[in-house]
Amino acid sequence: MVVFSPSRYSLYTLCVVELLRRKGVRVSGIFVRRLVNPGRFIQEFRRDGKRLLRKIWRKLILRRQVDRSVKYETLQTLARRESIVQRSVDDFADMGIPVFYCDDLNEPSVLAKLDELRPRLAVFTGGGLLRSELLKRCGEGVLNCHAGILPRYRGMDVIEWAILEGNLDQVGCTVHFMDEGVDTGDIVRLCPIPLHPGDELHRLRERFEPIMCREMVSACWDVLNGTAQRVPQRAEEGRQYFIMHPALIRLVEEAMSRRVMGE
Amino acid sequence: MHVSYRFIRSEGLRFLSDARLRDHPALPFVGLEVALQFFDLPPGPAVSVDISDIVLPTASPAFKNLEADTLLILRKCLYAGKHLDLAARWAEGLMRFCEVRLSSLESRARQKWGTISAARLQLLEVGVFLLDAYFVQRDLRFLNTALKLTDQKWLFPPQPLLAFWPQPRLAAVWQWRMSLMITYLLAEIGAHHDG
Repeated sequence: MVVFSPSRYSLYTLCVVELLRRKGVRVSGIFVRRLVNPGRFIQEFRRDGKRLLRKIWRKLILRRQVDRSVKYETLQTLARRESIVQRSVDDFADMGIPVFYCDDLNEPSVLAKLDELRPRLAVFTGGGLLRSELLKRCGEGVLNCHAGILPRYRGMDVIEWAILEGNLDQVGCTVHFMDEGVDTGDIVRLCPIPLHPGDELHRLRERFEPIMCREMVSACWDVLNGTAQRVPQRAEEGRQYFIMHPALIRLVEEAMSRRVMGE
Repeated sequence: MHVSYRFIRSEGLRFLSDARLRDHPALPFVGLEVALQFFDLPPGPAVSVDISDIVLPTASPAFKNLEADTLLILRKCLYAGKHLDLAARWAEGLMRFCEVRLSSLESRARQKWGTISAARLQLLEVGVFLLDAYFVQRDLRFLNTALKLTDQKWLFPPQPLLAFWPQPRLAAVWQWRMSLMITYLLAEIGAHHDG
């Protein structure tokens, strides 16, 4: 199988690859998007706005720092507990897993390399859409872990949307195969994640990440062993959501702080 | 968008007392009853919305298919409580367009309608329609997109549009209407979460 990573330093990628490797899964290549790429920055800034800067700070600058004030598992504590020592995907190259850099995962050089590798399965550990030319070169398909419960909540900020709409049982993650639509591919694993009274909105993704990592690894294992069930989605079963406006995010934060106070 | 309660009230009093606006065919005050009460403003004119003669749009619900009167027809459907599925499909189509094309909305609108004033007027009415659609269908995504439209400086410039030069300017009324509805709706949602 192969892995598509949003950056060389993605801790989520490092954890997924290492945990798969330890299960005996053969990773034949890691495709990595180059970070320093003006086109990419413009595209992601258009999508995420100023939130991109916070994302860069958290995922790149603070990536391995353990915040001792939090009481839940994070990717950092997972990596520490599992002794995942790799600092970048290049460390996997030293272990015999080739790493290929690109500006865009859909570019011809990636497609050519996939034709060579003929992977049985692929794992996607970053945001963005993949085109059909890439998807059809990945054997059984490309797995993604979406931070929302499908089919109901497709798209962006779906944790916030589920809370705003009062659907707290629709908060969680879904491992699914990617297709050309937005979060519309076959579902493999659904994992509702209950909210705790002490949860803060800006920390929720941090709490979700190690869960998503484990769900992804389990889903890959099930697919490779032939025990996974693929459940197709119907378009009319869900809605596509977009980035939530700050005025609505404030309402979600207020609702969550009232939960903290036990109101 | 940062608009004060006082501004919404003062502009509201001016607009609501202007006979040219009260009789305007674009129905600037219909569907605002609850929001006007929230701001302690007088009620709008009693208008009965007759949709018996309207010609429903048959083109697929897309920004490129918007005609001059499409939004007014769809708003009338919402106010009359009829053809709500059609209105919902158009709201979804316009919402998606505005979300996906947010950064190029101004240039696309200008390309379609020719001038910045015409483009502004039409996109503001898109915002009004999305808020009306949210009010009837309670799909929060429509409110979300309307909020993003208010952040667009070409639609809501820092200096308020001249409201009465030379005629009452519908664009200024739409800005006011969006501000009124959004402020009311956010308060309503917040109160709902308070339980």
